[in-house]
Amino acid sequence: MTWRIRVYGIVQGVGFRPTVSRQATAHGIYGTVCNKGPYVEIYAQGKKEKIEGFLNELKENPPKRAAILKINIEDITEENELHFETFDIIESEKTKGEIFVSPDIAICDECKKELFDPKDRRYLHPFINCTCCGPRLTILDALPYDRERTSMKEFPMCPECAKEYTDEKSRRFDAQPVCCNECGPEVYLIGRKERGRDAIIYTRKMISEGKIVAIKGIGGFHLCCDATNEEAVKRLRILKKRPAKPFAVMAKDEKVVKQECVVTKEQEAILTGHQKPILLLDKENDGKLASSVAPGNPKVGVMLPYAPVQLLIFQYDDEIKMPELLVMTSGNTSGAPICREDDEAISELSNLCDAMLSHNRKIRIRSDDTVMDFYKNEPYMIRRSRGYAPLPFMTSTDWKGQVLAVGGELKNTFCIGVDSRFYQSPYVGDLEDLRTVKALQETIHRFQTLLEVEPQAVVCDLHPKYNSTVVAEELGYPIIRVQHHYAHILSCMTENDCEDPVIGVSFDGTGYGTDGTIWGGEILLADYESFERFGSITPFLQIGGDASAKEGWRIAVSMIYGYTKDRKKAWEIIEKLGLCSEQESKVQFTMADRKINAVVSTSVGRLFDAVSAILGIRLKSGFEGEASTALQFVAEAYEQQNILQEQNELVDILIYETEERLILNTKMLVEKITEAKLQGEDSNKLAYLFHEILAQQITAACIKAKEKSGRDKVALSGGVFQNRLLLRLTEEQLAQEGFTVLRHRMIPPNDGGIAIGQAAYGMYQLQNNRRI
Amino acid sequence: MENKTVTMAHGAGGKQTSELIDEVFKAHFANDDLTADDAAVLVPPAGRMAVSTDGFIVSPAFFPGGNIGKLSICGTVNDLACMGAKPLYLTCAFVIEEGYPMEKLEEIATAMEKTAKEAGVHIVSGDTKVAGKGQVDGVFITTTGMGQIEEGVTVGGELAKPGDAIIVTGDIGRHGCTILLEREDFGIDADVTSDCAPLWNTVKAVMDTTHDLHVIRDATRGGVGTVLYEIAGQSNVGIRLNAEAVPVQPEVKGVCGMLGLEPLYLACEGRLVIMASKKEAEAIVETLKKCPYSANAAIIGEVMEEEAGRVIMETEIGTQALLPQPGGELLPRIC
Ligand SMILES: [Fe+3]
Ligand SMILES: [Mg+2]
Ligand SMILES: [Zn+2]
Ligand SMILES: [Zn+2]
Repeated sequence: MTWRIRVYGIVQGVGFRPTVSRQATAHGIYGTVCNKGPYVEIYAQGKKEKIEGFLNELKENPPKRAAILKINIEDITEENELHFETFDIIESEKTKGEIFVSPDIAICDECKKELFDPKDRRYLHPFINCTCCGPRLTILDALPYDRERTSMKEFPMCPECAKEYTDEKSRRFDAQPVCCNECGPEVYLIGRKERGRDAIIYTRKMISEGKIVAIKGIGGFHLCCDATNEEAVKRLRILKKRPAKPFAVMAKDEKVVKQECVVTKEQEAILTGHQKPILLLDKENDGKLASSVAPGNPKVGVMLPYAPVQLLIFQYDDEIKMPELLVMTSGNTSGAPICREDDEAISELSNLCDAMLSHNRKIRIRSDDTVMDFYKNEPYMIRRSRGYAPLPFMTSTDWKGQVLAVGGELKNTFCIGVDSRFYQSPYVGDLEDLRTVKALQETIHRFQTLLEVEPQAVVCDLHPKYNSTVVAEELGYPIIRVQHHYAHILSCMTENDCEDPVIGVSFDGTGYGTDGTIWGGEILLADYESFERFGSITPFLQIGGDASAKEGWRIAVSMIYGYTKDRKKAWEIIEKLGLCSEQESKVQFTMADRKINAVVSTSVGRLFDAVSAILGIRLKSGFEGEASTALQFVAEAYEQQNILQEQNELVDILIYETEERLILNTKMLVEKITEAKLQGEDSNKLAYLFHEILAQQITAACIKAKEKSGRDKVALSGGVFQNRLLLRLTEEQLAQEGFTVLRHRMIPPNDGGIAIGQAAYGMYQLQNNRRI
Repeated sequence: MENKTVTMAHGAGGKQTSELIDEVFKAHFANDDLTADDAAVLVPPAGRMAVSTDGFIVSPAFFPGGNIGKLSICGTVNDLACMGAKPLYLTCAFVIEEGYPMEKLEEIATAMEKTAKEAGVHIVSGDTKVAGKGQVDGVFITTTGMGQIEEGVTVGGELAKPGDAIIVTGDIGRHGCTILLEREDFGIDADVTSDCAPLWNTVKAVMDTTHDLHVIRDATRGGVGTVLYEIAGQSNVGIRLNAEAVPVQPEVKGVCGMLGLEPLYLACEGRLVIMASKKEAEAIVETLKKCPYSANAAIIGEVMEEEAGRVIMETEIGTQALLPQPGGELLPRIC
């Protein structure tokens, strides 16, 4: 019989065809296998049992990095006169349809072994790869994935590589980026004569001497220095104009990581896996890391080398003694996207480093490192990028159409929806900067080409002044606008493939509300059709525009004035807490009275900043989230050392109803915490209580929402749920009340995740042909 | 005139109206062209003429560095000057709230006289109305100016060219900051005065230095930032600012820091934005520095072909921030 089999999923660039060919031959099957772009098509001829045996093996032992999402089988024995006498791999054809692009894959163990084997012909070759590993998305021009449609097309294979490439038994059979010391790309120092081996030795020497070197990797440049050298790290901070925000670290191997950090079994699996994200790990006390790597932070972001050149920086056949921990921070100037090619590095990084190690394999699409936290022993995504993007999320809903969602303003990612598949882009960055806006436009364009998409609509945020909104409008397609916090909830629903209406708890920084005020602590009754603002935290005045987002003391002063309603009383409290000068407080009061540069806000992010200031933990944030994470850290520290005996006696009215909506009584919460602090209560305990009571308020609000709507699913989203303590307390309390809780795992809860929610909304509107 | 106030009778057109006009306005505005009849009769200027009209309401009417009278002359003569026109004639219409102190009115007229004289403009016709209590807030003044356009200079918001240098004639945001501090009880004791000034002589000096000028704008309501966005749109060009080069008085910077405001969006009443070819920029700044109201003139950026319609601010830490679009509710409207 003859069967036509179509396999969908990540089946390109992962050695799929050679595996099929090997397995088919082993089972005595004749036929062909061909890359069709969206899928791999197999013609299998032979006895039924043999074909079935072959199929079972393929399902059970697919190539390591493949992800089979769907297999379509047609028996075409009758209508077909095909006759095969061998099993062959056919060159790729282009077919339109469902497209899956593989993310970049970290170097595999076998390649690593060869890299350091003096007898291997790829000994110390900085670009070694095979069908299981190597760059994918970042070198891709178009599909299907073949060498001539990647940036490897500039490097014709030498006869030996060509032999491996065409040898079915080779690990490099059909590996598109295959190359060797003879024919592959080359590393070199920008602005110096050293190339290849000399360039690597020079780089190692510089780093070992405490210098800073920019190193081009898979998705862009890193700035690199010895992470155990306090002076080097401090100098990098000064040059990068980044006083306190933690730096990511690359460790030589997992042994070194374990010396520095607490690593669970599950974390180790991710750490050493083929995606190699930056993992946020708890520091050990006696580590070697310079304290300025992540100052005042109990955690540090660590990853292992994923590009061969990074391994060579740690280990080489010279006499240089290298540190086992390197700072590996994105190679960019403040606000700009990560540098990709030499010209960008020269103009932006020259002044930030002492040397630049580049290479001549072009990066087509930038991809920053992925950042991941752990929650309940499972990955909890903070920044989804290299190694994960653009793996699609699939919904079981049968949607048809094409949409582009441009995402939010900070931590921007965008998302392309094709039918029921949602491809989220690598991390783009903060769109306050022109260069990042340009990167967004360029990457959107590349993805549209790659995925062959002509969107029927572009989805963007409601905020009129977001640059992402401007980018969306300039694209010239019909526009659909989605409220920010609703998009957060939709992203959580989409990730969880949830079609039921939910109670959405969107706890976030700030976003533009449908009433022109600032939102950010919302209880929404949401489904794909629309949402209702069922409740929010107590509104307060956010005074001072952008400054109020960075300086929590301003929010604290506004809140204290808000509940005392009296200048004198407020100042007494403010003075005791040391929030600001009398002059500054007067200005804040007047601005509040006269509504000067003051907007009504329900942002929970700002509430955290304010409580952090009131408890004397951080008066302001030097980088985004500094004050609120510091508050979380002391609360967690308290929880670890104490079992809280007493019940919440601080706040007796958790929620109350108003004509417009339900209010979570955060005003009383702030007032009581302030009082307790003034009476000398321990700040860490109050920080913990703040989390605890906030979770109680959310739960109380959800109970009310359930009474009204009958819904018992709660979706938790928004940047505040990066706070694992609040997440856990909320989840536990909700579960106790019988709610089903949906939360994020592989999509960030922060603004880096909203694009997929926007896209799902757009897709829903396309089906129902509304609002377009 | 002590303790006398304006009454409804002053606006009724009878004897008391004539008294008000004679005692307050005529006494200060007297010149050859000022009419006693219904309309002034004037000799038309040679060549092309510029005409501009503006209404002035400002609370408080008296502020450090000026009052509504001075403002009403500066605003209109500066609008003329920005078209390259020498101010010649001016008309003014007052709407006065019943009960307004005569003394204050006198003070306003004195300021108008002095400023008009400095600007070289003749007040040729006027009108006075009295409105019932609460119908207006003190005094509203509308002025209309006529000027003679200098030959050989064509400027306009649509004429900015890529490569042009962008000049401001002094530190920015002082008027807006002054009014804000006067109006609200912040308890801030900052030494800030309005930059309110008539700028024809400044423009004249620049035009005498070079005729290679493309844009002259006075940055009034909405400040320098709003003007730059307007020009970027009109000329379809991008604008790149060097944040460090923008002159801001330390006191203004301090107040803005406390209030979370952007000085670029605070009103000025005596500052021009000039765009001219780069090769002339230094000479223009040199000239400006010698003029009385532009000692702090500076080149703050340049015009680019790319990024049409956008204003980009390069900061000292190397970011290329897109200056937020003007308008919207986060910005209080101060005028
Ligand atoms: Fe958000
Ligand atoms: Mg006007
Ligand atoms: Zn490999
Ligand atoms: Zn080779």
